[in-house]
Amino acid sequence: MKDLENDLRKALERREPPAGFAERVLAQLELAPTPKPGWREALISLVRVPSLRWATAGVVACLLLTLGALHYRRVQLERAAGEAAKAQVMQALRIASKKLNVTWRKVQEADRRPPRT
Amino acid sequence: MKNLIKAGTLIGALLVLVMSTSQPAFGQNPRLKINNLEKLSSKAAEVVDVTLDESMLKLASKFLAAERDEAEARELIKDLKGVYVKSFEFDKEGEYSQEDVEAIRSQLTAPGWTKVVGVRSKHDGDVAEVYLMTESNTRNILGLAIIAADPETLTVVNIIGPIDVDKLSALEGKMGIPRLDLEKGKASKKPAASHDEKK
Amino acid sequence: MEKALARSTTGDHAAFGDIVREYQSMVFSMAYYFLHNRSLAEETAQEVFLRLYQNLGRIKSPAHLMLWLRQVTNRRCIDQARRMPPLPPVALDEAPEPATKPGPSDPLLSERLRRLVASLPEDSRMVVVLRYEEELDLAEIAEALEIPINTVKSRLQRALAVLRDKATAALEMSTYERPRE
Repeated sequence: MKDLENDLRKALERREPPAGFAERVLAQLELAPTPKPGWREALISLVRVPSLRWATAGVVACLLLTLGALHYRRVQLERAAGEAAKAQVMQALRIASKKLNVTWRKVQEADRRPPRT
Repeated sequence: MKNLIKAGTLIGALLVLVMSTSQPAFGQNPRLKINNLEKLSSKAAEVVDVTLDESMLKLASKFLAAERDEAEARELIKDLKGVYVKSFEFDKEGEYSQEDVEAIRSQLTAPGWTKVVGVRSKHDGDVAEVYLMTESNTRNILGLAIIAADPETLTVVNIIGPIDVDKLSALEGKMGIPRLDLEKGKASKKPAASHDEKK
Repeated sequence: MEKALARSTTGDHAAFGDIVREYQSMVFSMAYYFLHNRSLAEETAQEVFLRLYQNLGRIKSPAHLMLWLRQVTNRRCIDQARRMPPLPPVALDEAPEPATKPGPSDPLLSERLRRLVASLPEDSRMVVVLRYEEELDLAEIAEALEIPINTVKSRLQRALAVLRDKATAALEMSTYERPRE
């Protein structure tokens, strides 16, 4: 009994292409357009170009400034909201305290009045 | 079966403990509905409307200074869950009705609220009432309500949380408002920022 | 290989040459056993590497490169096969000499099997090539050919059954026994 699969493996052993195959491929590359880089390689190559280095640095600086400005704005808004809340708290406590004391005063005044006969 | 009963008893005890420690008793809600008073804003010469929930109180707390009256205020609001004030000053009498006041007062008959002091003057129409809501078993304060009214002003204050009433009362003298000497009936010599209600 | 890939992306032909030499036998063998024609196999393999050069930016890793090459080789082989006339039956005494030195196995049998593989329907032909030439498992074949694994199984079983029957009939020798199921 013969093993078909083993025979297939032997029949289909890996083969080398004719000699000089790689050189023929490379020769054809001379006629082919340059490969398109991926976006990462494109970005890295931009930075490598001296004239674009400053432009890239400028873009990064602008981004950082924008982020910084946004953060500052957020802090300012939070501060404004906090100060407004603080003012409201002080006003509310002032009113509550005043009304409380007015109430105690009225009670005391009522206690001091002579009873009706 | 015995184990089941034991487990059930333990769970029940835990529930009671949890519910009694920091939460108001079932049904007790110190928050009053006072938005019905907003309709008075259009008639009032002056309106103070303060709505501060827990998050706003925490935010305000960050901006309260560490000295003097602001420090006292920070201490007062430390554990509060809300502060709500509606205060109206009118140019003439009759701009609000007794029904408006009664809509607030009726809420203060709910379980847990106790009127600690109340004064009504038929002669000049002044009303001053202070209510506290306390936890039934611990007597911790859960909330405060003040109704103060005369013919030309109406103020409702609702504070949610463990407010220190004595410290709140003492705060007035520290906020640039003449504290009335309640024993002698005379104003102190501290600078005034505003006057009391009109006679 | 990662460095060669990175350098090739920038247009380094020498680095690309290294990649070609590394994978040329794989690509050529797949094409040869599918098409059973050396010159067409070389032409197809060249096309595959030229396409690779144009798409280097998309290759993420050496593993991805291997997969990409198998997939593109399969597609190019199918396109090439559709342009070819059907393979004529070859008499045993006209079988071409193998390019590599034959092993101790029967060269006539090997050549006969290669022809039979090349005569299989296109959809099962590459399955057999990847299974016995590249020695890939079923999942790897499914990935390379972009078909479900169950489809790979069924095509492989059918192909083996056909090969078994045809090889037995052609050689008029002892039969391949069917494996017990």
